[in-house]
Amino acid sequence: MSERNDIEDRNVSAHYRALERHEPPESVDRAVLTQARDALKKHANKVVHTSPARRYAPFAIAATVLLSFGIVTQISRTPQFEAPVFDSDTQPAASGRTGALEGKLEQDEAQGQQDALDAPVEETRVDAQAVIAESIKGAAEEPAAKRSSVEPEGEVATGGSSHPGAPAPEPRSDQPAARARAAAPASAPVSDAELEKVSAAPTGDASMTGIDDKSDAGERQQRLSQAHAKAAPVPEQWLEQIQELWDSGDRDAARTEFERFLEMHPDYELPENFPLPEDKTD
Amino acid sequence: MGQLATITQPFCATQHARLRPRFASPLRQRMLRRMTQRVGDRDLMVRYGKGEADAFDLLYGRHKGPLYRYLMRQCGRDDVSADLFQETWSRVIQARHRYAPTAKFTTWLYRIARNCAVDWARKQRVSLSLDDVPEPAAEREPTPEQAAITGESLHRFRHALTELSFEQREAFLLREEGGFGVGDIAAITGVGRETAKSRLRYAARKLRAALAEDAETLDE
Repeated sequence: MSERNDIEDRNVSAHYRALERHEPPESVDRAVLTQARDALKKHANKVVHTSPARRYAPFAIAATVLLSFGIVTQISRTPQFEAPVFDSDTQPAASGRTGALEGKLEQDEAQGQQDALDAPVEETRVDAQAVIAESIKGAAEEPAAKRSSVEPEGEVATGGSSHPGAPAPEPRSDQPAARARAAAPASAPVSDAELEKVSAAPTGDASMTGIDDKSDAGERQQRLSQAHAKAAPVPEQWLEQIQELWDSGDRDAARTEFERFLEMHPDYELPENFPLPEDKTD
Repeated sequence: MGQLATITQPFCATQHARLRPRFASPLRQRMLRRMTQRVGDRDLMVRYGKGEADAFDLLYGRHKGPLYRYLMRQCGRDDVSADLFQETWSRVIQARHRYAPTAKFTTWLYRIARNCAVDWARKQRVSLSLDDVPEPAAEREPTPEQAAITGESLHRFRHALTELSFEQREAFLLREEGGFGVGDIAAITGVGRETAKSRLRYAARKLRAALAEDAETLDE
């Protein structure tokens, strides 16, 4: 038998065609034809529904572009925040202040110090004398024990610990300036660095929380001038301390203190019996 | 003039019904029928994809019987074959926009049907048996050849058909129901031409052997 006859056998085909001729049920016919028509209707409805969206698409795009342009313009006009540059020597990073406020505070403090230093010496002396007079009056009334409890201000003024409650370190006796400060009274004159410490010392509320404004700056300036006045010496007492240093033999310290006295009170009329250090030669 | 122009338009049933009263002469009707027959499956499918529902009616009417029988013989169950048949046409409807006119429609249609049948067979993993299929009453007059075929030989033939492997039965049914050649069978089943030919050969040989046994039994 040939290959073609092997594949196509009339007898086999006749038997197959003699089998029953199945047809799909009418329900299936209806279902298929209905589905075919519904698919076309859905497609047509979808086209109708999408046409308004396409109509409004240009407006939507235009609105989006305008909005984006407005946002970009607004952002470009807004001044950009610049982080302040911290000076690690003078401002520790753990101070807890924000950069902008800290920069402003530093500026205010510097301005206040400059104003205090630029103030006339006469005013400073008058204020200092008034403060000292008040302190002398209070000291005469209060016992000595209670007076010692007020010394934290003096500790700060004499360059002690930065913590108000901490004990002041003992000054080294081999340094003349230190000896002079140790010998000086609570209202002894202090250096500019110490004044800066006083002015920059945390006063509790505003400077610690970082909240500062112009009223705080004015208040701080007032506080600075008061501290400056309190730290300013009474010339008579200062001269007495210098005299004691000179008499005790610590002449270097006496000479140093006298030089500082002359810097602070260049126009002070020295008493006639005051042994001037420069006059007393070794 | 306008009426003549509409004749050359798509031969959907609505236009045909609209033109029937004016062109009721036998000559016109014959022209319409001939032009309708001339429209190929490909064109009908393309027109359906463009929105002509009547084109699908024609297409469905042409292929529903062979396709249903192919699925019936392949899966062996009436309810399952109806579901597979409907699923096949559902996929055709959904894929109407993806149909490429370059492909032969029947090849495309039977490939979809074959995929449905294979999916079902994989899910079921059952041995197919055509013995369970209820035999409907004969609707047509049998041909002389069919009249010569006895009920016993038909039973043997049906049994032999179920004994074929899935692939051999598939190749045989595609040739008998779809009228496909070896090349189309290979394209539908996704195998080489020689493989399709081999399957057809083995299927015919087994069926012929079953009929030969039947003849020997009759001779005895």
